[in-house]
Amino acid sequence: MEDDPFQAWLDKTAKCSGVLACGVRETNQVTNVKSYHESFPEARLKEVMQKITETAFNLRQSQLGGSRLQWVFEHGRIHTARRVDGAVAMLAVNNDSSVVAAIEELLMEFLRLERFTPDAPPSGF
Amino acid sequence: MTPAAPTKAARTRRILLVDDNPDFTVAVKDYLLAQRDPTWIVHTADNYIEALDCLKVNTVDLVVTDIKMPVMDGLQLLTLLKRSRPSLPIVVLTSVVTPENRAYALQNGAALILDKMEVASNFSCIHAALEATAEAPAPGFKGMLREVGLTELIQMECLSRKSSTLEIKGPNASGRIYISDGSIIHAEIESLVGEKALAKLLGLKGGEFHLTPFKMPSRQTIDGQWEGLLMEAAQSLDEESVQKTAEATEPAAPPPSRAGRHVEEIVVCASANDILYQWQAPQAERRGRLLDWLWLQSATVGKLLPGLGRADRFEIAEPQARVVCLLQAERKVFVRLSIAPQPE
Repeated sequence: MEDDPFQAWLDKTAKCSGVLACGVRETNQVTNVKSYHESFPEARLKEVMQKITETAFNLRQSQLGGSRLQWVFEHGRIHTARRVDGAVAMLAVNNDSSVVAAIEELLMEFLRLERFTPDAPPSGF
Repeated sequence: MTPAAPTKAARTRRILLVDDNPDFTVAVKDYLLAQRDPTWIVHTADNYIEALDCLKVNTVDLVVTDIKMPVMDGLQLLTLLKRSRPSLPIVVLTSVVTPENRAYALQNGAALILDKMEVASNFSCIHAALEATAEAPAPGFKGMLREVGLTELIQMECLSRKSSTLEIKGPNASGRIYISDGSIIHAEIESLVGEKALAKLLGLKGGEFHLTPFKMPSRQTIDGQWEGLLMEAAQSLDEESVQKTAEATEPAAPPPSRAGRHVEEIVVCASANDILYQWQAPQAERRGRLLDWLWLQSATVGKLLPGLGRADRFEIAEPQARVVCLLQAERKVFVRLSIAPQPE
């Protein structure tokens, strides 16, 4: 999967100092996450990705859009970006304002990635 | 006003009873002293003047006030005391517990409302209630402030339609926010005034603040919905961060402009069933349900990733619209703004 642009994007987030964790949920519902901090275990990150998906869906149902969401917490933020093909990226970042521009650039890069949309996972054997 | 001295230097607490019926205050005082002697020091006052005089010379842990009193009633006294001593717990004791009295007292910071008839027939009920109130941690915004705390304080002042002057002292600058009848009418810090000053004051990372009685400013520089102003200030801070970082790194795209933004809809609620304020919000209850749901989702995410801490707000950004939701257990705010397309 080295040539998978989503995986490459996930790997690239390691270079951004403010990123604590990240994830991508593809249109076929396959979710990949990476954690750079012990308080963000990958199993829980997948649950958070599920919560983000539910939230974005609910907002679209309310005609409030949801292509770019930001969840602001006391000690950090969760940014999400949704591509036109439906894939969603998540970045959990600290509140260091010096990384804001880098986070924005990472999300814009995710939105610009060129990728063939995979088919839904095969069912059965 | 005769304090009864404790018999030993135990962990004492001072209580001030304010009631124009001396028979009642003496009875309550005698009962409390009998119950808690020596830990209670009980002061009594027949009216608001004696009460204020007592508070000038004594540090009191708890005030219990009747409502029906001449000149200034207990609810007015409550409002007055909460302005100067926001962390002082105040119990309202009344023989007329109406929904209006109860709502007003709770909205203005009463820690507890006791039915005088019940207290008179059973003094033991007041003991447990006052004990719990005096033991309760001081509520409110005593001490160092953070951005969120200051915003919450302004929200409460505005929602209560109060008039006050908020004096804020940061590490390198000090300023004021003037709130008149629940509307922010002026802000100033150094040479800045108006919305820019408000944004700068809300962006202070630490300092001290004092809520003082309202004084009319020399001019009014702010005229807008306070919810929108607070949202704008919060977003302005975010954008400022982006701009500063961009300037420090490389010439990039210009920061998003605030020009052309218009508040389209505002909902303030405690819950979906308790809409406190709405403006141009025909779907206020639906927004309330969404806020409740977002708050629960935030709590779940916060539990999954405890390193993030408490949820503060949720933002939706679309090319031509933005929604900001403040998320707190007791107060939730929904603001939707439209953004006019910027010319190329």
